[in-house]
Amino acid sequence: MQDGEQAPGTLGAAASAMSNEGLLRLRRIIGAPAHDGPLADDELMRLIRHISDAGFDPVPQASAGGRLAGVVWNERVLRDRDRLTSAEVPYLRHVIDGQEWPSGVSLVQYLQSAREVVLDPRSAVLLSRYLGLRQITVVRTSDDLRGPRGNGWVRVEFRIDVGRWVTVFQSDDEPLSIEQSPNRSEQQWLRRPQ
Amino acid sequence: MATTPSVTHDVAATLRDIAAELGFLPELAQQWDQEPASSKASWQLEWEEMLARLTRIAQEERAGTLAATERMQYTSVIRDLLKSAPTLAQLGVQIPPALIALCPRAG
Repeated sequence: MQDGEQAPGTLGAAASAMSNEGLLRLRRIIGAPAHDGPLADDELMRLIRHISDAGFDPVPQASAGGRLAGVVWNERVLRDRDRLTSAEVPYLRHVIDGQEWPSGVSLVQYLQSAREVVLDPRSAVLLSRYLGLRQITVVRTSDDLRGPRGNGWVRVEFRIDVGRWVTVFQSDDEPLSIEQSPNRSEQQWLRRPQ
Repeated sequence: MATTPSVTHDVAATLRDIAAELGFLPELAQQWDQEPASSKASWQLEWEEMLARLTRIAQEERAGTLAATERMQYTSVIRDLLKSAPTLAQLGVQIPPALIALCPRAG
């Protein structure tokens, strides 16, 4: 079990206590004074800007295996053992192969669209543990980001211990469905879905 | 027998993607301990999303709305998925109970 991990799916008193630990962790990230009350508006805005600026890990170490094998990228056919950056992998999966974004969206535009979702005041922001590790999920309707095989919601997943986005994709799952995932625990909305 | 056309493009693409990931699972499991935390998290989150899509396809299959070719693909993917359960557990994920309940083998 990870630090503070517990069985997923409940929001009881123990989970609330763990969520308060999560809030303390968030305040450390943004350099705010330590206390375990809800984030103030200005603290949430600082956190959102932090997440927006974080982006993906730039080191090219993510595997191109699975559904990316055979996809053409930078004039070469990808093989299982190829290594890509953490931004290229979701871009190729969800924009080039998955067509979740409109045709012709570049890697830079994909990353920019994720930043826009994070900064959009309409986006919901969920703090939780995913498979035991703390994470922030930002989710908004896909609107004009929806491509030929897109879905209704864009989701940006930020892993707190890594300090980076770990994936950005489109899903049919509404925000409240994300909260109910059996893989999540200690769910706490920092900004509730509208 | 299915008489209602389904969204063939989406179903076929989802099944193709899952089949590709299942085919890569043994290699991924071998290198899992060396994978960076961000790659592991990315794979786990996206795997959950793919299985959510597969669950919707399973519901379509139960409703009899898959085309014949889609049903064949679906049956093959489910067979491989169930065989892969031990490997998936090594990667920290499991097959959702809601999907298992819809699987042909589960009746």
